[in-house]
Amino acid sequence: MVRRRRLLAVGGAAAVTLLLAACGGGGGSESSNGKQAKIGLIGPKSGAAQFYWTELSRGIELAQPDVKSAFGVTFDLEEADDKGSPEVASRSVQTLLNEENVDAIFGPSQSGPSLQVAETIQRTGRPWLVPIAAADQIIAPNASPNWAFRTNNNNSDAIAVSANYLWAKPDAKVGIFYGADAYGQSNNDLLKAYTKAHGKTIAAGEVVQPGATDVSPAAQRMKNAGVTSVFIAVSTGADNATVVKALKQVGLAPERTLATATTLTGFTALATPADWKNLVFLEPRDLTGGPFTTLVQRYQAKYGKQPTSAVAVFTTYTAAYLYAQAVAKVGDASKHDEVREAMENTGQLKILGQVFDKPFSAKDHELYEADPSSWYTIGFDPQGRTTTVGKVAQG
Amino acid sequence: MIGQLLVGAAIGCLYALIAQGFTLTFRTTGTMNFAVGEFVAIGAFVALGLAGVAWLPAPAKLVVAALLVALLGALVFRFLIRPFLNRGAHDVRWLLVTVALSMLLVDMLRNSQGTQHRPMGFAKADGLLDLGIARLPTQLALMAVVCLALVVAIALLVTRTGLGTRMQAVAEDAETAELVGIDARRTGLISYALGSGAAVIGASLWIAYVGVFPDVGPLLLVSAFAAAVIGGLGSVWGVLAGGLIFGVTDQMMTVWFDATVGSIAGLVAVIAILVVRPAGLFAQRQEVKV
Repeated sequence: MVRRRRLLAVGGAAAVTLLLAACGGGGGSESSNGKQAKIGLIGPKSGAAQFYWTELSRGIELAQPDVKSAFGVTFDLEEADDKGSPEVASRSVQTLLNEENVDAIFGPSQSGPSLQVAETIQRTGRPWLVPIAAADQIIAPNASPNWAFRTNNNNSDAIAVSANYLWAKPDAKVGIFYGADAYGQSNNDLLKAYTKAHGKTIAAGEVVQPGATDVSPAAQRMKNAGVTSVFIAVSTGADNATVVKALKQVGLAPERTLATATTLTGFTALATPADWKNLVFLEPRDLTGGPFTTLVQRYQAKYGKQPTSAVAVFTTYTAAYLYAQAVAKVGDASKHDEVREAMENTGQLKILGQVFDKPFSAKDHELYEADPSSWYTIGFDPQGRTTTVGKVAQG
Repeated sequence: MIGQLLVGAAIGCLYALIAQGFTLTFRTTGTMNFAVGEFVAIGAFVALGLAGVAWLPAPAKLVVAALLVALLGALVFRFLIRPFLNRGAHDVRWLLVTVALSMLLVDMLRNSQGTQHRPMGFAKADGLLDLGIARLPTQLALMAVVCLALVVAIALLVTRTGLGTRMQAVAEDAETAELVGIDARRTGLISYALGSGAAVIGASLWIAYVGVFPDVGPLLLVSAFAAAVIGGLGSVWGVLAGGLIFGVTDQMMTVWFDATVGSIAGLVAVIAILVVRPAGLFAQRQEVKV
């Protein structure tokens, strides 16, 4: 009798074990359970660009309840700190892919680490959402299949639209202030490449050391060169403030002064309304429109403060939504090929009311395009709040 | 051109003030605080924290920040530098400690405060000051006047007061000074506190212009150290010349060439001066009996 009971117990245990194994092993992966996706979130949790991590993780956090109610998809987040270093990012991504067996990678936030991990993710074959990093080369247009999807604009698109604005008058004399860091250098190189391709010339190019106190000598040279359109490509709002103060100091009042979106990081707090009166930057997102402000308000309500980079929050939210929609369509996050294909074939993506029709194709994994008619000119009102001036194509 | 010269001189005054801290501690202890840039950053964050205290006037806020950093300077000397004194001229562990402290503090500031530039919220004068011959940002003019006043005040303290006499005695021969009742270690502690606190007041006026952020240290440290070396380590008046030479060289080379040339021109000037006068422009020649 006892022997029979033991046999029953052993048999029962074996059956339960087999059943559990069958449940957990969908598609040979232990990473997810149908509409529950295990996401590897990688960014600079520590180090100089920590705020990018904050916005990356908060963008996902804000998206989670929405994608759950819209698609029934839930995220299980696996975090990794790349410390803003390509080397560390490389190691962390290997861990996420091979040990944590995540279903998708979100990040890294910065271009350097993203470029470092691009080949690894492509080789492994896992949906890769690039919500913030803007270097062109991250998305390899000829990769087949292409696992990377960018929900921010890339640098060369931004430069093409910026050049369109700066040379609105064909005889405009354009000068560029660019940071001595990778961000500034890359913008300068891209603008040079644009001018070469379009038969334009840059009247003056001045490097700005990050954190410089005074760049009035550079502003004076720009004035001497007869510059009529100024482009400021520096990586902090503080450096933007230093440049516009210098323009005022030497009495240079260009017809057009264009900054990049980095001007959102603390610029108005360090400058005066007179400094930003004629300053604008260009964005493929309407920063004062409904979808964007809705998300910023939710951010403020949840975290009690303004985002440092609202754009990064929005583009990360967009990435989460795009991915969840694809997972819902496939019905299983562990079917990576099918999820990738579903993202590539997205018919319509609705982000808080903003609609993107057929945003991707096999050859195009960029959400935004370099079409000036779809970009916005953003400025600041006297209180320092962003205000939409109009579409870039409208001049 | 005169305007650019004045901007260079104004920034040079800030370098001179921070260099004065190096000079003070080098005279009295033979050591220097390479974490002074991060001390300045801490002072700026303290000032930022005090920005909302409406009843405290702006100068008082700066003084409170300076006093707290002065206390920090004294504590660092007492617990991290003093243990390595009197163990021979070749014991440079104080240098490793201050460099490590600098790295530690900047990481702590980045991770606790974030890396964004934030407005200090007070001690800021907008606009341009028209001097007739040139225009200068009012904030830089204010900073220059305050820094210059502090450099001169410290130099007078060292050369004209009892405390200064004790500092000089310790500088010349610490052991003999102790034999006549001067507490050399206490003198060192005062030097660290004074150098750190004064730097906070001057640098805060610069930070009010460019924003509060954790990475101010490296921007100030190299230039201030260069100013101290040009003037001659140990010369309380030399730092003023050192700061002005460095600031003006940097600015004018930026005017004549570009920011890249400007940023290295001051350092080239340091090398050139050291080749001609290895002890700096104003350091007194030390005669050592062997």
